[in-house]
Amino acid sequence: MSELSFGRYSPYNTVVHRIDPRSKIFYMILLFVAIFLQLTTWSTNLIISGLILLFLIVVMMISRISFRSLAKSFVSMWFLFIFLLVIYVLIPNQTYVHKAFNLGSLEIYYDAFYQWGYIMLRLVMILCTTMILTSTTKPMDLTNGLEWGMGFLKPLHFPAHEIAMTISIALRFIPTILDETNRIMKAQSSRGVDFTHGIIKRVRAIVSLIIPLFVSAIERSEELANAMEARGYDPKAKRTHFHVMRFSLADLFSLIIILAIFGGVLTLFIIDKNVQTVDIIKFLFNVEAGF
Amino acid sequence: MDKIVVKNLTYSYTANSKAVDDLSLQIEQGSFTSIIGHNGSGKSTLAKLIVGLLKANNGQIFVDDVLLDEISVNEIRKKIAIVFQNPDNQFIGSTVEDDIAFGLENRQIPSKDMPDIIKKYAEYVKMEDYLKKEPTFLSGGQKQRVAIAGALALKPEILILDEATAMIDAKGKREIFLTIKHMRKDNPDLTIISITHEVEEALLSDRVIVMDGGKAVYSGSPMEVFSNKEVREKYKLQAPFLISLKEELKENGFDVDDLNDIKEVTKFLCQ
Amino acid sequence: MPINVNNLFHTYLKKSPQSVEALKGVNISIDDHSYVAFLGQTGSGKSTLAQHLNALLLPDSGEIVIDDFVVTPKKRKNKKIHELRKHVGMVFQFPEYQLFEETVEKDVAFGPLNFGSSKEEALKLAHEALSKVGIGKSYYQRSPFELSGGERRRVALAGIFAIKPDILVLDEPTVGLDHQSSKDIMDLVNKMYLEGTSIILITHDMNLVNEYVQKVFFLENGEVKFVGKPTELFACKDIDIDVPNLYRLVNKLNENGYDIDLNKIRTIKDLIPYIKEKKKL
Repeated sequence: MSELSFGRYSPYNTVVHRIDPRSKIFYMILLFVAIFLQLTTWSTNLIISGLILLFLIVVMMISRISFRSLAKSFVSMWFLFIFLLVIYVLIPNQTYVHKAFNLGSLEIYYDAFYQWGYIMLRLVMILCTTMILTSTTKPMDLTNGLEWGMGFLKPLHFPAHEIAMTISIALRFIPTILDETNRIMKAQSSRGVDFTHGIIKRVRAIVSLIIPLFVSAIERSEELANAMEARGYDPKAKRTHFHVMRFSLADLFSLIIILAIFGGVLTLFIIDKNVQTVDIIKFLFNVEAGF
Repeated sequence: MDKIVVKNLTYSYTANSKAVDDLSLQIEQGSFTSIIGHNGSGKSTLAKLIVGLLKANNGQIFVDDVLLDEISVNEIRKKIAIVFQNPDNQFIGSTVEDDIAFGLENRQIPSKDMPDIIKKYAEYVKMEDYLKKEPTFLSGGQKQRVAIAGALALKPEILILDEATAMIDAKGKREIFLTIKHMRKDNPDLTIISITHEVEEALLSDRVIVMDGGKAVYSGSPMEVFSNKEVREKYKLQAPFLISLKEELKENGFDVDDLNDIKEVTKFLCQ
Repeated sequence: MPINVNNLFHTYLKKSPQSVEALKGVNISIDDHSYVAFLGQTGSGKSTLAQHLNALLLPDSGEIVIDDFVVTPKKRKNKKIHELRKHVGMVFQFPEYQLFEETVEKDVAFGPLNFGSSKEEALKLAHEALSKVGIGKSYYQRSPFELSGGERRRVALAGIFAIKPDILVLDEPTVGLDHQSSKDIMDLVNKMYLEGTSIILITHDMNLVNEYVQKVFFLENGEVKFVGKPTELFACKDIDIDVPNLYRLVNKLNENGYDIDLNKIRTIKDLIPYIKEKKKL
């Protein structure tokens, strides 16, 4: 049993779990678009993102996703955060106007921090959205949903089924291979391998892990191919599906909610670009937001 | 009637050694045959040849008098189900029910019929409480029972167990034996071939074929094969407990030739 | 080296819906130079227990004391793990899957090298271990991946033997092998025992237990349910194990008028005097 948990399917039976996988994939795409639509005023962007994030948090609570594992995955990405911060703050940008202070000969702008914060916020939202999808949808359903989604490409000889089957088998074997990794690591540790100290030692340790893993993976894939063939699998032949996907009431309600969010953001975006600048703060409180 | 006929079959993985060497044998319909022999004697290769996973260099295989070739292989495969040794590497679905469904999907069984079929065979191998479980949470024995359920759901005429119990614990083995007994009673026409090196398991079969160096070197009823000390020593076979006991008693002057199972021996000893 | 396990607890996947309490307060002690077995169903906790003995797993609470080594829950306190692992050798199920070097010789020398032997020393230890497991000189420069299953397993065993552990833990060493290869491996292990190594065998095969083991620990749901001699275990009615045929027969005979001391029975031959006596009457 492995301790890896980010985004792994957790077998609860919540409303979110019951939504059809095809719908969920569709929603994810809509939300991604909504997350990436950027308006002119920074305050409006933050408000919109905050609202979407709030929505995602509510969905995560409903679908009983552990915030701990989300937090853990952030901690593991600290390097990316710092890297982006450095990039945004130190690299000069002509569009920055709100100067904060001078760092030696460098001019530091508030805009840079805002850009960085906004990117981070969007990253958080993307992670949350993906996590909701993968934690509440069985891998098998997910791949069936994907296969269906890619179905319109089939006439173009796009191997939708093969891709879906490959993904589902990969997903099926992840825990098995993690167990195996764990076992080989322990076996090599018993032979005195140190997986934690020193770079040269660690490289050597990884070799003693990787080779056995490859050897067994090759053996595994051969046996798996035999087992599939013996059970009559033929990628070119027609197959029926055990999991029949059916749209339900949960799909209808969730569709309304997601369309409302997506439609709202899209409308604001169009107004912002074509009619006039949208500024929620100014609209609500009639004040100019500034630094 | 012979269900399977193998004639002068030869197969080599590498140029200088033959895994199966000029092998001929017949397997009768409805029989339970054990093929035994040490690691590397060619038993598993034979199984793969019969299912058409490997193509023989020489010789023929007939199933129901139909020659196995590239054209007939798909039809023949529909009659044969095979359970392999490694429980993990033949678990294709992400859950028990998905795995049993895999074969059904390939056979294009309508979706609406699947739940009942899956339930029926899961019950048969006593896995009905685990339908939604993922393989990581099952024991080796449980995974093998799922594999058997997946095989039986395809209604095969021939079931090949390719060292299906080699990697699982004693309890798992016992449960698989029980399932086999059960299957034979329910479906007397089912031909079972068990490739194994468990002698106690081979005792349950009608016929034992001993393989060595890719050849079938001896065959007969389990009692005939295992009572033959010469064969046992030559091919390094373990004696089942019953036979060791009988031999020991006989050496000490007891007349136990007619006793056929442990119950009869116990009765004799307590008289 | 004597082993003492005190009040050991271990839970997998803590704080997750799939968490499993693998060990719930295990106390055992194993004498110096003994041949014992950990028994129990799949999931009883026997492998988890074994993996604590060389600190592959650390306890949630409790401790393991082996000679002057102590394995405790706190990572930082376990400073001598590397040294402990030299003393407690662990052979996992299907050990042939841990082979990775280009040659047999190098693979077996890998352990000794990690534990600080010089190159020459490691090779010497490797050759010794290989000859012990019956792998001849002609194999030294061959790739481990071109050997047969039984040979690969013996090479893997040699890889542990070469470390010269004082305690050898073996998880199902014979699984998947034919009768003859299994026998070869068990003979080897017994040889190690006779040369002074303590053996801890994890197995489902009661025939092996009967043939080799002095003392068994039977685990159930993470607790030790029985400690004693194998024959005492076989006489136990409330423990779910596959009693070897021989003891099943003895139990049957005793129910039907025999008076056989289980402890005196190791093979069928030991039974004959009792039968002769009974039959004369």
